[in-house]
Amino acid sequence: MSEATLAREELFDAAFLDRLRSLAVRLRKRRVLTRRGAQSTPATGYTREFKDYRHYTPREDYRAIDWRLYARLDKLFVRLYEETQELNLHVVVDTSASMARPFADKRRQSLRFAVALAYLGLAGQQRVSLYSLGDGVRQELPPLRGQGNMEKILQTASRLEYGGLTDLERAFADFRPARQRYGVIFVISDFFGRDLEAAASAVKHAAAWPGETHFVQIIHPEEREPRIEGEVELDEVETGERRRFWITRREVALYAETFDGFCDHLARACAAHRIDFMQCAADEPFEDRFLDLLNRGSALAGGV
Amino acid sequence: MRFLAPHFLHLAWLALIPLALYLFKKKARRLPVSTLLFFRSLAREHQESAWLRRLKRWLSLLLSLLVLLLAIFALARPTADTGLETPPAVVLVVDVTAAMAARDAGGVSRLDAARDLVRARLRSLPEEAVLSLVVADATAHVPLSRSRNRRECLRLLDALQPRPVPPHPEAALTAAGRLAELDPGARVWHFSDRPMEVPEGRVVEFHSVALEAPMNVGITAFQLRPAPLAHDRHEAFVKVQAAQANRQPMAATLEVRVAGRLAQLRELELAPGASAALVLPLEGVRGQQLEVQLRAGGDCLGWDDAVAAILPKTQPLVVARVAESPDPFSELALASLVEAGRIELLKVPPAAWPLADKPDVYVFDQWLPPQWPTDRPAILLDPPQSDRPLSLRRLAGAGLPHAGVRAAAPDHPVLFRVSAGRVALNQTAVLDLGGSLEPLWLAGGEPVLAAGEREGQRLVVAAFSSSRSEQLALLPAFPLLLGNALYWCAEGAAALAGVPMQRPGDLVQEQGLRRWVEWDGASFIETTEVLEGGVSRLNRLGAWEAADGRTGVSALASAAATDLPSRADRAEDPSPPPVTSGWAAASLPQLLIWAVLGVLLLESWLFHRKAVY
Repeated sequence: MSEATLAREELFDAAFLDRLRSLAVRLRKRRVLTRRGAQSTPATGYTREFKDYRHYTPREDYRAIDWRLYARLDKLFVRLYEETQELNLHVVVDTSASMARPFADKRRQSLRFAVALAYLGLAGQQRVSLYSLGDGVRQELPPLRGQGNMEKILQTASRLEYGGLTDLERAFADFRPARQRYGVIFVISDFFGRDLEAAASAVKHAAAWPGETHFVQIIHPEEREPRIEGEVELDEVETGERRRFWITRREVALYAETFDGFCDHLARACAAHRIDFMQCAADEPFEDRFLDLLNRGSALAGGV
Repeated sequence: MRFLAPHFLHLAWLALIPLALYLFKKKARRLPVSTLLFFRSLAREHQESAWLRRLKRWLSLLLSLLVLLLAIFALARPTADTGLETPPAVVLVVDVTAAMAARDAGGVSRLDAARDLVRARLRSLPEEAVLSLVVADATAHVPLSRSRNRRECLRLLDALQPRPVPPHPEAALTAAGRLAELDPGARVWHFSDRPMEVPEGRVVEFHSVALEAPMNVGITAFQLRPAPLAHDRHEAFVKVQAAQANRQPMAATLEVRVAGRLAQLRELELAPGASAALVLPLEGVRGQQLEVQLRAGGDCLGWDDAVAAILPKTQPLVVARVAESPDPFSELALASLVEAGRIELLKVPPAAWPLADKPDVYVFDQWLPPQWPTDRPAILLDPPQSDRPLSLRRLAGAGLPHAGVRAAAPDHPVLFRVSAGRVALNQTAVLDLGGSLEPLWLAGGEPVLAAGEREGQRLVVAAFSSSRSEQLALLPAFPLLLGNALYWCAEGAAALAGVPMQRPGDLVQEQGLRRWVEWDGASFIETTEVLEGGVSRLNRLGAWEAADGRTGVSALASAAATDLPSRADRAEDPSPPPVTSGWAAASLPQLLIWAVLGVLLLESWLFHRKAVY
């Protein structure tokens, strides 16, 4: 198996995803969407699905009065029907070189998140879009609906090409889904930009996106605490830049402190803009962390 | 250029180590990382091109080699080759006598200065030079003989301490000469504050460590003895001298303490080279401690500033009077002396002659022994006949009366305070004085009283009869005359002898415990000493008391030690010939060491001033 492609089994755990069928992604806030779809909402609408009765009040549409009930009870009631809306699910996967090298686990973990989210959306009859994130955001698949498109998602995810730089500022500024595509946006990345402030400042652009945004940071444990000692020449995989360092334990501790500061700063910036932020290590159990993600963002809904 | 320690040049092979490290330098591991974002905050790094980096590596190698070679050169001690002959062997004669304890204004003793000078001179010698060390104090010691172990020589030199002995360089000169003869071409270096007299044909290089401007006064003589005819009284003779090289007159205070109480205080003003002799009457009983201390501002040497003594027990003078029919007036005069308590009189009849118990003085009154005693001094009163060694002629009848006498030698001790003005006496014999007797009284042109020495003993002869003289017996002059004669004759007797004086360095044969009141150059301290017996050398200053009650004094009391020379006084002495170019020998290794440090600093600044690289 080459690094370029991943095995289908690595991305698609059928047993786990089957258990997710009873779950669905939904919005945390009630919102009137423009398009009708299969997503049930607390609102009442004009579908054929009966939902409830309610006393008739003047100036209400008299066509909704249930005359049969009036005949039996001699009281006016109106019939309420279910409202279903179309929810868009945008999955943005970081495909920069840092997600694939030197730690390939990051790529697998991020794609697992992407595939599982897409499956959840397709199973919930939502429109699922897949994007790749690098120096910009590129749409890899148009909005898809229905479980039949799962194969497309899998094939596209396994063939994503990793390489190039991460320009969070530019990518987040460029990514502007149309208002009609309002929904839930998942960004799966390590958020390593060109400088320490790049990710936090890029969050401002994400706050303007039409939808509820979730950031999933995928990191490798050795990225937080590198196992390096002595004189080394470090080669950055994205830019090819090489620098020589003399690393001691003191330097490693200082590095970890800087790394934690970066993550804390990013988490605070996300919280300030009402963006959910979750950090996941590449070697952590995927299923647990995925359920954590759904629970954290209140994105877990009841059965469809 | 040549090297004083050329064996260190073999260390040049160490240069292979940096060369090998340069050639086989392990390259840094190359590791791919996701981002350098967090590493950039660790340290700044060099932003330099590859050629500059390569140049720096070359420069680093060259600097490392330079540091190594400079250090090896410094160890090898290069020196400029001036063409002077280098001695194969050197005999170091270091003076450790009392004068070497003199300190300058900075507190540096002359011995310390000599050590520094020896070190400086040894640095100019090659490592293979043979060294001998001769220590000059009261005698000569050779702690190191013909050795190349310079470190041992310096260790022995550091262990030397000045000793309170007067300068005696003769033995050291002899020992140094013998050692120098063993190595052809050997030189003798003498380190002292004064040169020694070197016999013809021998060369000694004198290295002066004398003070530039010494200021010193000291006690150069001391004697303590009981006062004649007095109870519990003593006389101390003290001589204080100022060094000839003093810049100016020195004011000194002489404090005399008996049993801790101040007994005498004398203020002295001594010009350079001047001295003052003092006789100090003292009162004190046996066993009390006498301390004589000289205090002077700016004094360089402390060991000659004090003397301690323990007052001795006074013993009576034993006088044996041998007479067949004693003269009543002379008996009366002697009885008056006995009552004074300082004389013990033995009345001996002629039949008991010769005496079993020897007295201090014999008094023969109108009687002469058949065999003249040669073991004690004697006083002859009105001798009856001529006998060897005395020659006289008896006058017939009752003798020849004289109305007066004339003192021929009024300053003689026998006539001390004896007035001859009213004396009228009856001459009984004509004395033939010969060459060894001195007339004291003359009556009618003839000696009637004489004193001198015969057969090794003192002798006083009175050629008159006290009982037949009209006024003599009634005057105080006669008992005074007798007393003076007794003390003059017994001057060398143990009863009149003072406290025995010794000097550090003297040989003593003692055994047992001795208590010391020791003078350490600054204060008196009480110590004890256990002598194992046999002959040992006295090495302390102060007063001692043995278990059997004997006491003694050990004092420097040396005019030579007190008279500290000045370096200016020796300005006319030629400076010792240099072994090598002194400046080059001393400074070139230092310059190399400074160069090593400079190159190390340069290398650190170039390559290690930042954390990276």
